[in-house]
Amino acid sequence: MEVDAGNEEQARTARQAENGNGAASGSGSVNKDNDDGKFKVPEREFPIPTRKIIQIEGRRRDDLVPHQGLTSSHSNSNVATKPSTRNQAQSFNQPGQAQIQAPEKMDGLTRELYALIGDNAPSLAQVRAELAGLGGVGGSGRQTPFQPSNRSTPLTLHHWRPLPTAPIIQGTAGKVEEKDPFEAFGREGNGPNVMSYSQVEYEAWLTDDKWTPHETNYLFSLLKTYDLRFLVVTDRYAYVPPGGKTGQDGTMEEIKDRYYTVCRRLLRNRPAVDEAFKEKMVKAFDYDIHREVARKKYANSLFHLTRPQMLEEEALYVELKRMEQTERRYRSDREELMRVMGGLDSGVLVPGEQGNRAFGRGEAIGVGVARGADGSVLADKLKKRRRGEDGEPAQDVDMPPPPPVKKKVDPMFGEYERNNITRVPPQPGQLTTSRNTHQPVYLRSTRLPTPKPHLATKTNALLSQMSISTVRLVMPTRDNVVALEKVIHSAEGLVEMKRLVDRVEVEVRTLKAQRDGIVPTPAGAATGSAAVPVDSSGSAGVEDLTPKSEDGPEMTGSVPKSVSAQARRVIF
Amino acid sequence: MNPATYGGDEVSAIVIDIGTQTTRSGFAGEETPRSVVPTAFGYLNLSSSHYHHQSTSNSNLAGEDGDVGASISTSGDGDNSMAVDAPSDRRTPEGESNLNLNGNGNTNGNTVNGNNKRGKVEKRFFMGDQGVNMWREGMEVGSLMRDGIITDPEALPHLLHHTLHTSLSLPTSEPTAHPLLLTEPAWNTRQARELLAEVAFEGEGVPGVYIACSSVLSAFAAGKGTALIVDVGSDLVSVVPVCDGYAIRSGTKRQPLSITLLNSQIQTFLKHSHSSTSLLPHHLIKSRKPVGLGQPPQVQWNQARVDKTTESWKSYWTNKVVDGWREGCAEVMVGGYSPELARSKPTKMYEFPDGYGAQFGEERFRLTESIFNPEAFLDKTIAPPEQLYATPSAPTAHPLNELRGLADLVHDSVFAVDSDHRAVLLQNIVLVGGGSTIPGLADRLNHELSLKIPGSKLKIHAPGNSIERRHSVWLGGSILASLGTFHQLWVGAEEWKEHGPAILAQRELRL
Repeated sequence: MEVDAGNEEQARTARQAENGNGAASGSGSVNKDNDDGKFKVPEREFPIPTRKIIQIEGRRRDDLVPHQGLTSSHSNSNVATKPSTRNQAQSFNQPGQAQIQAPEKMDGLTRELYALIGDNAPSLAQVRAELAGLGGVGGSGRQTPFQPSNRSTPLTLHHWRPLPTAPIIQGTAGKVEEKDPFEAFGREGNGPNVMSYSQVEYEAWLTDDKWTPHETNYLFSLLKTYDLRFLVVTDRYAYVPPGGKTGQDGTMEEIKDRYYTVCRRLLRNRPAVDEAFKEKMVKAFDYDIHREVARKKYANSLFHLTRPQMLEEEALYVELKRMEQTERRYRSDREELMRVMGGLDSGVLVPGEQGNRAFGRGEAIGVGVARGADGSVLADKLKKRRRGEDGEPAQDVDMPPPPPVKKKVDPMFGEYERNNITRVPPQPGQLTTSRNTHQPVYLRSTRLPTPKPHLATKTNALLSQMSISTVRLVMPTRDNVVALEKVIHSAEGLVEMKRLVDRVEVEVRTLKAQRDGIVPTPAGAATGSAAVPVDSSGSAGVEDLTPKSEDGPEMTGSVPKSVSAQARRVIF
Repeated sequence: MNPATYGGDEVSAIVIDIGTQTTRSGFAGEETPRSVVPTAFGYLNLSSSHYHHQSTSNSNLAGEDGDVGASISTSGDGDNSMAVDAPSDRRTPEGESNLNLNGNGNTNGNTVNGNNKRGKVEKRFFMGDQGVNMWREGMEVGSLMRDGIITDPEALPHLLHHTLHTSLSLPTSEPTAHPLLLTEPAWNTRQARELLAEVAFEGEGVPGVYIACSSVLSAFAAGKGTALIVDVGSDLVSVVPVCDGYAIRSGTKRQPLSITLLNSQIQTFLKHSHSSTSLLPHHLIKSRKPVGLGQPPQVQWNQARVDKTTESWKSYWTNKVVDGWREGCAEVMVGGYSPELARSKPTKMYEFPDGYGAQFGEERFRLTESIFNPEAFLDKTIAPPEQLYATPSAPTAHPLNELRGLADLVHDSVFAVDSDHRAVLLQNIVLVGGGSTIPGLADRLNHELSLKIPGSKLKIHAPGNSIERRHSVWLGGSILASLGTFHQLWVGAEEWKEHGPAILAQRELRL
């Protein structure tokens, strides 16, 4: 037979499969293919014949085909399992090298290939290898008597065990396999723990009017028998009282209630090391029979919903969903429209409330919880937005943020002072136009101009001296409001000016005193630490001088005339 | 696959499932039963049929030519073939047969002796495939089961003996090393269970016995621990909820609205509408000529046999012939029966053993409708077979006059179980039993149930494999008996000797 080198092994395997007569003929054909014709196999090929033998035992060529490819392409990777390799080694007539270790782990591409096969479809080659491990498909066995270890009473069963075949491998095989050949027959099922109690404990804690000790014992024995499967226990429950004849049934709730009550009482009364753990355990055995009965009743009624009821429920649900969707679409449309027409804020306050009212209607027709929840969320959102709308303009318009002004102005003042420059605070500009965005409609009377907060007391005092109220205008026409604004503005200017003048005067006085040597000159005027005494002295000076400065009539005297004139114009 | 090479935990246990129709047996761990034989058995009343007995060989030899079914075994030694399956020695006179039974096993001997004392006639039993399936002169057909429960203490030892030593070819000489897994319905009586164990231990001398609930085994065969087993058997339809491997007895429902009742309805229909067919089996036919569709059959009867056929054998075989029609033609309409729709379906041709053939159309669907709608479709004027009267009236059983539709039965069963377990059961409905193989039955059940319980998710598991469907109980037993953990549950022969029947009640499935 002429075959090219690449397919040589494959062809050989196929030929062996045709021979199909097990190990002897298989090895024979392998030898024939070798050059020297002796009973010798190159070491490289050991794993391969192993596989071949396994395949040959199948005696079906179509079974072999997919695995042959595997074999020929990876001649050195071992797929066959251990025992078959051992058998194989023997059949190749090399007693000295009989202990050939076939690696259990597959590696390389072979492993990947097997991984691809997955769990569900064991490879035929593997199955056959396992069979070979059990003593071979055609291997002889013996019925070996044994007694399952998980039985309380003895019973002799018989199990087919493969007869040890070859003396060479017997040692190792015997050692490995004879560990516990019948272990699988002795496995025991273990169920959950069922609590138990003693007679003393029962009398002390567990007495119950509805349950006799006898029946409780019966219940616990049943629970133990059926591993706490309450359904089965309820089904098998047929308590026969000591004198009675017929069995009594119990409902599952009664049975559960009794069991859990007993458990709770036992846990609570028995001494425990860890109190917290004990409490937790007691909690775990909580059982409320009334609630449970009510729950089952409710569940039963759900099961018995008729078709029309189900349809109604479904229709309601669909209706709810539809309404929600319409609502959402309506709202988004409106917002879109508002934004286009005149900005976001102009209309949302009122429509938001409308939306809420719509939800209220929805709940009134009983659409359900989801809507209610959704509605409340939406209402919150609207509220939040409204608050923002109210708050922001108020901050921006009515009280321009004072902290930045202070921070900005204060260091600047230091510089101006050094350069002997006096500046009034920058013009606050038009009160109503501090934002680019659209202003919502408001009553003019609600937004009367007020003095700046940091100057408010002094300005108010000044204005009240002139008997002008900043809180209310008798006739808040547009002109009047503008006039009032001007008056307040001028008053603020005055107050500010006066404060600056006072300050400069104090400084002049201090410097004069330093020049005269009355007060020592500070060493490092620039440093913060050195500035403290100056400040303190300055402040002290201010305190000292304030009465004087307040007395200064020229400062105020000239201005109030115009102010009062303006005020008079505003009011009348 | 060979159990010797494959089974990990096998102990060569034998699984025997005695059903109303067939008895399946085989080794645990295998995937199909080794043998499936009819549970019904043939018997001869020896003292009365003695003369017939003598003349049998003659008549058999005389009527050999036209014999289709029994010709193989009746040629030559007629006597031999007749007793081929009886546990007693062949070819022996009646008295010796009795002796032999005594020697064979205690129970057999006791039973027969007891009968003798009571002055009953002695019987010769013919079990298995070559029992009822063969024609024998004067042979009566007996049934082991009533209401799904084994009620015949006389024939049971013979059936067991036949199963073990003929069907499974175990040697009779040595004491068996195979423990025996037997099955029982969920509503089995204590007496029947003890009888079964007694026969197994004392008649066959098995080392261990376990009697498992057949519904639980069906659930295991489907790979489920919790399931609702809908078993459409031959006599009974039963619905058994199984939770965690335990049959819930309070939720069990059963009724005799199944194949036997259906067949009796079909038989009446065939007799009325197709009166030219005889509905007799091929055993009684000497020769026949092919005829056209709907033409009266041209058949030459084996008159010698017809004359000596018993009524019970004849009705047994008529039922089988009708059952052939049922298997070949009957279907269930998925959406409920409507005459128009049924007429639009393709017709089917069926030929009876006597050569009569006809096309069957609408009736294929109408007759089966009684399974789902007995009020409207079950003809009450037709007397049901006698054995169906055995079902009592109980919360778990509907007798003949209280029949309900199959879907109603399933519904009732589910709602007899605690509400927390219903959802699981409804999603694990397992349809088994030979009767469930009527085409469309599973779909119809699904359709009706989804109308009845609209709010729940339903899933009906109906194995497509006919073996899994018909022999699901045996399969489950095969799985169970090959589990390592199961071996603690065997009732050993020594335990039986020590505790007696009481030990059976203590051993319920616990895995």
